[in-house]
Amino acid sequence: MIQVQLRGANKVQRFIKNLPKEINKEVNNETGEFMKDVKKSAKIRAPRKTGELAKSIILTKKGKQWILQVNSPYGKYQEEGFKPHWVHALLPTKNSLGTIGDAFNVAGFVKVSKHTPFVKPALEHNLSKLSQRLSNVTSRAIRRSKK
Amino acid sequence: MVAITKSTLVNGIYKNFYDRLKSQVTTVSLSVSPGSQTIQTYSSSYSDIDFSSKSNFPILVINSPNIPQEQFTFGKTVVNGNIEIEIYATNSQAADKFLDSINNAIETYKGTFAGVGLRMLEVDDTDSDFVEHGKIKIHIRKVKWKFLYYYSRTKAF
Repeated sequence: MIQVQLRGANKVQRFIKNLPKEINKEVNNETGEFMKDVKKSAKIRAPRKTGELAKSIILTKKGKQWILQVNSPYGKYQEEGFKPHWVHALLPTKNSLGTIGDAFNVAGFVKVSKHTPFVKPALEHNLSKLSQRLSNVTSRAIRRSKK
Repeated sequence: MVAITKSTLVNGIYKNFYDRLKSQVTTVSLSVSPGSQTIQTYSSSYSDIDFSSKSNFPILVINSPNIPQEQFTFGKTVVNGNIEIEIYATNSQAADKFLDSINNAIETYKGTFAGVGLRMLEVDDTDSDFVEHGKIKIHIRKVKWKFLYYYSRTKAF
């Protein structure tokens, strides 16, 4: 008579059951960490005169989605660029700082010509390490699923 | 060193790293001008950094520790934590040397950290970055140290 015994089937079953849950949990956590790093990196890179632009970078979570927002009205122009032009000191900054003259302590016309992207470089810097981070969390999820 | 309990977990862990680095990481000598650099500010957040003047640097930022936890045994919880330490310097060599100094300060005092319950201290990750603010060039080095901390869990049924 031949007897075949299969041991550890319940462990395999538990592992297969736990793995998707653990991967989901770990990837969600890591996404949050990744986005926090992008936000921090963008804040450090944001050009500063008054600090208003850096302050306006916020990170929010809606369900499983993370949203990085730049609430300053001139954030878009710093990021994407603009044609060199003159602005009058009495124009409003559209934030709590009042006029451009008040914010930068200038009078008359000011020439604005230089922009400094800060979100894309922050994203690029952090994306280079994303595959490594995902690989680490996947290994962690596999390890935890075995328990 | 400050005693760590489950009621003072974050603050206790932070204080131990802060005190250690503040006493060990102060000045590095450089082969280029100005010859040496001394930490100007020890901070707990990058948001405190004032980018307006070169004289504000180097800055050592010791971030709050992350303390994810899980059940270890029936009566114990294990904190699988990490702490991120950053150095902001205007000179690349200084940034590298400060990073070495940070790692050395923790590595050589592993026994003392273990004395307050912080075990298995290992470097988890490192990163380097470079940003420009006007004429100020800032070299950033980051290191993440991971650790384990065990405490007796409160049992409730």
